[in-house]
Amino acid sequence: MERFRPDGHLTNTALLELSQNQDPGQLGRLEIAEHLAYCDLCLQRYTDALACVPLLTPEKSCQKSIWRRIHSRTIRLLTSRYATAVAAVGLALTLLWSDIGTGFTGQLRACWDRKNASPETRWSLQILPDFSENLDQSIQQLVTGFHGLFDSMQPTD
Amino acid sequence: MSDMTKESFSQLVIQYERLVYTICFQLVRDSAAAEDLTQETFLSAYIHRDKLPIGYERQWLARIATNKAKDYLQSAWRRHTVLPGLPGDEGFPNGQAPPAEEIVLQDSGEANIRNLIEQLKEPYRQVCQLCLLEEKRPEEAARILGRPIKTIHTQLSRGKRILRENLERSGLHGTLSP
Repeated sequence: MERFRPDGHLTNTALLELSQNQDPGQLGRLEIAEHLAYCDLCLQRYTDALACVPLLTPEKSCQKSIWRRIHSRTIRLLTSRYATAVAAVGLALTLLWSDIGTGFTGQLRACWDRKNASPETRWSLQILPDFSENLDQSIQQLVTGFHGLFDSMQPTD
Repeated sequence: MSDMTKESFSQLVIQYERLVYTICFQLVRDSAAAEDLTQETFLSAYIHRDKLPIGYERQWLARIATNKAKDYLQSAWRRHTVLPGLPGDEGFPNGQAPPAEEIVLQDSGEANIRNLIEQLKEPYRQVCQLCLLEEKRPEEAARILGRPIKTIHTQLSRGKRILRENLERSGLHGTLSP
């Protein structure tokens, strides 16, 4: 039986036999699948052929299990992102309040104490505590947001 | 369709589950594998739901299901055809095919090869004509035939294997055990 026409598309016979549950053999099915994976025309012909035959019913429906899989995948993805975000924030805070933080603020405070700091330096020293506070608030909001997201993902059924 | 709700996706699953399962089953011929592939199909559909073309859900899901079935079959075929101690020949890029096929094709006369290639059936004939006779690169063959490059590599590799078997069978070349 010819599965492919000379122009490279699937023959009507091949599509008809496939849609009627006849097995063209392992290599035949592989060749057909490879073709249907990229050919819009033959895929349309195949789905049209399927519209004329009774469809098969799976023994186990995936209507519920698909949500469990979507759920676990989403949690895995978010957990991974959450862990990355937490690690990044932790690293940034460590850097800010250790080497850079102490060095930079120390110098600024020394300048402030010597009362010869420029207006820009004074301004920096004034906004630094505000910046830290805002950063804390942002992290809190982020964590709350993630908790809310996880809560909303609880299965409803 | 990025605003697809859980309810509308559930509706899509209900509406097309049997179609997707039928496609998977008809291609893989294994009910358990077909059920797994059906679930994989809907999982992929959910992940890429923002790309769902409205009004073409049936075609879109059928394409995903076919791709899942193709990957499954290719994997099974590789396991089936790869012999112990020999490199597998499926999906090798051009120039990296198993040496046995290359040697046989090089040693055989051009007229013999041409003749056997013209007798090849699709989907291998056009690919082998372009890549072996006209010496086009797989990328060019993919563009000319409108097929994905990976499919061209696979078909070329399989086509060479068929040619080698045909050459051995026709006695135009000494038998070369795999």
